[in-house]
Amino acid sequence: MTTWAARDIAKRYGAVQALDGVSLTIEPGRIHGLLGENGAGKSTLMSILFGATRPDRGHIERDGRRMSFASARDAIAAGVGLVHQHFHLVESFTIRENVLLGDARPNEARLRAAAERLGLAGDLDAVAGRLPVGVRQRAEILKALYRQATLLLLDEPTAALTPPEAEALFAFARELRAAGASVVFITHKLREALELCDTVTVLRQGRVIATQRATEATPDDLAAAMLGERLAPPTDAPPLAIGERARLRVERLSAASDAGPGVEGASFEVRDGEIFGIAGVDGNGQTALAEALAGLRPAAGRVWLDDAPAPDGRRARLAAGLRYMPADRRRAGLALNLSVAENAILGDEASPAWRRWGGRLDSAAIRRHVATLTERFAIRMPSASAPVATLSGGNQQKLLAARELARRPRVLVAVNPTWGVDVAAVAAIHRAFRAACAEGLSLVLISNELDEILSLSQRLAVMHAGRLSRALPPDAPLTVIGRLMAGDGPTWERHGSTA
Amino acid sequence: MARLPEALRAPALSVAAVAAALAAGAAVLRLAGYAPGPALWVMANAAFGGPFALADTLVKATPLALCGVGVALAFRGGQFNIGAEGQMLMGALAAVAAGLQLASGWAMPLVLASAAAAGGGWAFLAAWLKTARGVSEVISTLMLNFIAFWLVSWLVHGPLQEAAKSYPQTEMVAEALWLGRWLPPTRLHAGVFVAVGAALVAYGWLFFTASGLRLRVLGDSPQAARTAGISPERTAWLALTLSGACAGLAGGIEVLGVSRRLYEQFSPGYGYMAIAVALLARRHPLGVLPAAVCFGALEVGAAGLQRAVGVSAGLAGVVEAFVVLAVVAVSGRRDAPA
Repeated sequence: MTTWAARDIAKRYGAVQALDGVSLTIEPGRIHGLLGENGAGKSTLMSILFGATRPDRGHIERDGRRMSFASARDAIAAGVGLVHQHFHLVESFTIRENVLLGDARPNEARLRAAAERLGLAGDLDAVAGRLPVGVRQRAEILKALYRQATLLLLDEPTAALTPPEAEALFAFARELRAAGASVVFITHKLREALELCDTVTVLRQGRVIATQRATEATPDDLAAAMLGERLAPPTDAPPLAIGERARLRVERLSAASDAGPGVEGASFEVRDGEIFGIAGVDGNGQTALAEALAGLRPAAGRVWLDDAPAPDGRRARLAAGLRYMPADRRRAGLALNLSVAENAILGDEASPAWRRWGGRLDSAAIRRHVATLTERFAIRMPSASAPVATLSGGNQQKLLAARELARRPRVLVAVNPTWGVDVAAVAAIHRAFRAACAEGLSLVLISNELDEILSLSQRLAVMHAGRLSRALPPDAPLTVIGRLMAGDGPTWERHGSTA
Repeated sequence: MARLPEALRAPALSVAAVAAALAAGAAVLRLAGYAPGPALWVMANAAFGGPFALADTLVKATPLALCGVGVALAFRGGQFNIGAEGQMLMGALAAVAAGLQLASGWAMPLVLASAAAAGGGWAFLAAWLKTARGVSEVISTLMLNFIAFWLVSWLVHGPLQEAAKSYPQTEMVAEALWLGRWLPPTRLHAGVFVAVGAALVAYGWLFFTASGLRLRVLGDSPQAARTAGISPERTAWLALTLSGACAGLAGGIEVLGVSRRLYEQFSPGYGYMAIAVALLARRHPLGVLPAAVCFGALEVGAAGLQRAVGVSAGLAGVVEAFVVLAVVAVSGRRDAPA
């Protein structure tokens, strides 16, 4: 039984005070939730607890004794285990090789025992890269258990899991708690935190805002603590009026993928003004589907735009009013070293609004356009000529959304449009989507955030292993959606066929 | 540390790189047994002391600047063109071939245009190999350098050799085509203005036109370019062809302004030095001008040092290499195309 504590920890990165005097006690046999928006300081605190970052001030204590970690190696030796959001497994190694990596004296008995507890005994010799995400995550936990961690840090552990996988993780976390370990569960999902944790600490702008017992906390309190103000009650926005016409019609679309499943015969239609959600765990063919729709990936099958066959190729689809917000904003959406203004007109650089004779760009017209966008979306930036890389993730994503919505497109395909951005930016982007749909936009919302899909879509479908289910109403039972996401055979038989 | 304004940071780093490289060069001189202070003074004097020195430096800087603008354009578009040397040779070859047929001063634009076209065409070969066959332009442009060099070598020994057959060189182009020398008896010729003009045009095109923007988007993020409907293939062709055209123009200008003919050792490696020039300029067309002067001065200074003290001209190469290392070290990976 070990009690861990952080005492008055401060850390500054350039102009940003990432942590500002954070103190936290993590008791044994407890699951401690750490909540906060992006940029609240959660990751920095984790990194300090794990020895990967040195605090400017303050220290870590184990059972009241002051610890000093020069590196993650020291932290691991002291009993800290961290499961990163993005796994750190050597994909071509087996689970066993991954766990024993760097261990001079492998202890097979200890490894077996830990693997039994995690239900991984049969997978020890499987190659990590071929295993499902849920199993890979357990392999990460196995690394920590094998090294006899008394403090297990889980960084956004459910981000990539199906609901059943998440349930299994929760069950395991409870088991660890019963065995006397301390688990720190980092998340920005309130429901999860309240369901699983005993104690919840909310961070905002590098400070501890509140530490509460989960039983005494309400989602409203926690959200208010995270945001620093009371949230407006959940959107009572009037349902959008959907048109009658099928704006986008997709018939038996199939496309290969670079990695993982491609798209196998997906069919659906989106009416004007409609938000059509496509749910699913990442890596089930969503990227291939989005790229095929955007005209970036060759595909079989047919795509119709307003009852006319959609032209082939990205440029032609762009000209036909089909816009695209890719999942990876930093690589596929924006050119990070180019300025805000230049990024704001990407794809529209030939628009007559600023293109003058000889291809010359009218910088005054562009600056006016950027001013409109940044004002409408409250984008904070040093200046319009600053590289986009200097903007925060939320502001980058708002810029991307602003650009794609700026010219009243007919169809927008958006993939994980609010991934990794702060709550305020999420709200701004969702508002903008609804406003654009009220003016007739048809939105294909592909997201691994089920909540996002459920709260925005008029209809939704689930994607799994390259297949797309039939359209469901948003009040479809969660169990059905969850089973479809997990690829449950009988459920797919009932909802999968797209005749 | 007080932060410099954004606009000054890049030039400051380049100046620091040159200073660091000169310091390293001084250390090498000391190791070789020379007093670094006087030696550097001799170099500075050879490069900048008086009209002749200055003219020499600018004459050397002219092809460096034109090739450098070309390399900078290619790098901005994410194309690692290291073939400016071969493109320049093809440009010089085209200029001589055209110049031997056309003897009128009116034909000068035509001669220079054929030089640019030849350089651009040479680079387009590499671009086509890249988009059609997936050949890295690093390999193809380098190989095309060798082909161009040996092609010129064969031609000046054979079909294009002067009538007298005494040297491996072509006849001179007609005097009517020679670029005006505006500070006789120095060799300073009107090509300097062409270099400055090319840098200005490249700057304006790159930063203030839609197609220039497309090129930079491709260079910064090929995926973002695709999302925005920009064709990576066509944009890569454009970047490499324009780049080659600048280098070809450098060859044409060198023929009409300095050599008047083509011979085997026509270029002392301007095309390779241009890569260093473009990196020192941090891929900025206007930055290429001072960077080219800097390298031109280094060349002239090292030659002066050799004449005066007998230090090997190879030392200049050492200092140039130090400059490139220092530039790459201070700017990190960001400026080099991936």
